[in-house]
Amino acid sequence: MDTAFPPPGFVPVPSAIEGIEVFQPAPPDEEQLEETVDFKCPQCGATTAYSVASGGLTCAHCGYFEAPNKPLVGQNAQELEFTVQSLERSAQGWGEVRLDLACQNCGAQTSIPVDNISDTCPFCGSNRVVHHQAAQDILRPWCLIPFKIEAEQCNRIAAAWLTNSWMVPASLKNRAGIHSFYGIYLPFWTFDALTKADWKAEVGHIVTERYFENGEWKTRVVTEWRWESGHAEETFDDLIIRGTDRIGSRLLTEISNFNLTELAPYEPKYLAGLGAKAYDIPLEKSWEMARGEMRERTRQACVQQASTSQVRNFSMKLDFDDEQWRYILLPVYLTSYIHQDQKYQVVVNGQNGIISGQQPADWNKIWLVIGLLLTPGLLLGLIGLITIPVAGAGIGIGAFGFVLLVLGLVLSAVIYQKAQALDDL
Amino acid sequence: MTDQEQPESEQPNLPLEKNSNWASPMQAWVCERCDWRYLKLTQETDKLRCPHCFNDSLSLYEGPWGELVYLHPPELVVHPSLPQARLDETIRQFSKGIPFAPMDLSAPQIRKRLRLVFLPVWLVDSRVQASWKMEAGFYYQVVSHQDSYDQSRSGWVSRERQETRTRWELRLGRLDREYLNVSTPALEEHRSIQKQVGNFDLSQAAAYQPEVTYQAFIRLPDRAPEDAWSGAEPGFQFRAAEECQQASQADQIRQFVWQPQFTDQNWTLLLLPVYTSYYFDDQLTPQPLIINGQTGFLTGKRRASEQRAQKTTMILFALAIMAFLIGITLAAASVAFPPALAPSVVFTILAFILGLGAVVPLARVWWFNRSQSQ
Ligand SMILES: [Zn+2]
Ligand SMILES: [Zn+2]
Repeated sequence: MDTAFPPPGFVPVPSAIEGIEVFQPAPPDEEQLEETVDFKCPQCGATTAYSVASGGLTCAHCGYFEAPNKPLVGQNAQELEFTVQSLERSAQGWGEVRLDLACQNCGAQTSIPVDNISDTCPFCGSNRVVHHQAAQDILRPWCLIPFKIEAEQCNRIAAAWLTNSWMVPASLKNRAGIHSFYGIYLPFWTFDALTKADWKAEVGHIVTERYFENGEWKTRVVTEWRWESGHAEETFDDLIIRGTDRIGSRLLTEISNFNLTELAPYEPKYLAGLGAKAYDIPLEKSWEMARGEMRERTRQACVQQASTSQVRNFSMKLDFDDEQWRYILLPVYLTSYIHQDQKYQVVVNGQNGIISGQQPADWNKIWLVIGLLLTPGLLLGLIGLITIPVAGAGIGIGAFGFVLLVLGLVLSAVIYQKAQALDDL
Repeated sequence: MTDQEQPESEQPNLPLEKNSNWASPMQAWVCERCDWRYLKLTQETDKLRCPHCFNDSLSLYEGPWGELVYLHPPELVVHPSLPQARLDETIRQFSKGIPFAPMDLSAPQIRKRLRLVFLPVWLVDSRVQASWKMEAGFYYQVVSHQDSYDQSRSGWVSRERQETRTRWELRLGRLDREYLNVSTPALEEHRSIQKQVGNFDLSQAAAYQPEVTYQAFIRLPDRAPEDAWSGAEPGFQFRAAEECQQASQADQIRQFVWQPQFTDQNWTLLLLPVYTSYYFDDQLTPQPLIINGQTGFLTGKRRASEQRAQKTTMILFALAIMAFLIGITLAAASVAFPPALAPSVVFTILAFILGLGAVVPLARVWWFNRSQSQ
């Protein structure tokens, strides 16, 4: 028996049988995440923070720089299966509501919401990242996209966005802009799946039919319904679904076209000085949303296979396969502004600068425009009515007025809808 | 493997004593024809019929016991648990449906000649020290979905289902265990015998009791433990792999490899019950058959008698010739006496039919024996 046993890299595990020793490969050297990570400059002791411009941890005091340890992984970042264990764990939530923290720097006791991953001490301004013990296993974020847009850029983006619509009140356009953008990593889930569907439906075909009636041949057009069936498969790669309810879903959806090729392995230093939230929509719930989207898209693919667009009694069976998920943090800037005692939320994609937000609509202006659009039609209609007794010209004028009125109504409806969406709060 | 020092091996040509491992006074018998060697509890000294080849060639062994190698003690025995009724039925089925069966081939004859023979299998105990390596599989559950959509009814319906998947991980280790009663063939022709009698349910094996063997022949091993060892090693590996799976609490294992060292080996015997019997064919050669004493699985040659078929053919042929002669005679007579022509034709036709029919028995026997040997 060789003396060097076990071979290097193996650790003992408990054996259920006496006389048998069992060894397994030592788990990979995973950096044990400390419960709280504080960011202090090793050179001068000042507080360090992540700098978007230099892409690493920097000290504003002495210029110390520390790059991230690991290279980008992109969409190759590890994906996980839907094990019963992970679903149950995510459904449990975070337990307690707030977490009491003692600042390592100044000793002040603060209490932060339990789903905050990062924090800045309100007394001394030192940055730290908090890892909840419960979340350290399967449900900690394994990767994130680092911020690429700086907070100052957001001000410019927001200023341009505010003035791009005539529906916004002039007083808002004239304000100095929107400031104090706050960089925060928001939780998202990504989902992969292959859907396999079999469908069946009656498809309508227009046919011309000859028939004999009252002693002569005539033709008529009828719809003939024939059964059709087929099979469709759709592959979904990294469908992004939000993991938080705190921000309006319309805003998040509008900015959620993140480029996942820039995913980086999670490191606490990315979070230093920035906000970070853990998920509050559990995995199962988000997966349900993702599945809803996937099956709807698969259904459309099925319907398109039908030989015409007339379809009735459609039914299908769908199997989800190769399902995988990831929990990631994505960079978002948040801010809000007050206009006439009303708070409006604005979000900016921290990777590509796409902006979305709530804007107040200037309803006086909008009603005025709608009125202007409807007036010509109404006026011409009236003139037409009056001139009918005079000659046939009145009918022509009336008809033209009617057409204008319809056009005006359609445009008004579009404008009204847009305005509604604008200040949907 | 120092097992030659059995107490029996020092005994001179005397029956085994009651205090031996077999616990009853046994005599050794050797068949001069097939060289099968047996132990049997008997006081006879006349020639016995060999329960394997069924020749009158079994004689009492007079040589030194030491030369009767492999007199290892019995440890386990599978009882001949086949019920009498099923044994009878098996024999009845065997002797049924043979055209022109030999006179001697009958169920009562075969039943009368039944012998119980125990066949030996080696049982090895050994201590094993080894280092081992394998892939251990652990089950886990994943959740998947199956949705269906019906426009005319409620829209989408989602159904959740759970699947079991296996995660494979490397495990290795050392073991120091003792494994008892790993079996390995004790007969050179073990495999061909197994083909004839099928498998035994070894979980029914019980501790050896001498009463079981009172009426039976016990076949002696003819395969040396040294040779049989290669057959035992996979058995030890199987046991070790099974235990390593338990030790690692794995749900499944694959690719088990090990480097074993075996010490403290002990060889004993497991006895398996078979019934043998025979019938004489045309040449008065005994045709043996063998039956699994546990399951009733039977193997034996079913042969039709060519002699009996020939006899029938001859009789039919003779009748045909007779009919033909009568027919010819009547035909000749019809020259003088015309009414004799009709019976003459009848007899000639009869002769023709009998002549053709005479071939049938021979052909049937030929076809039957051919189909049986295939
Ligand atoms: Zn510094
Ligand atoms: Zn023999």
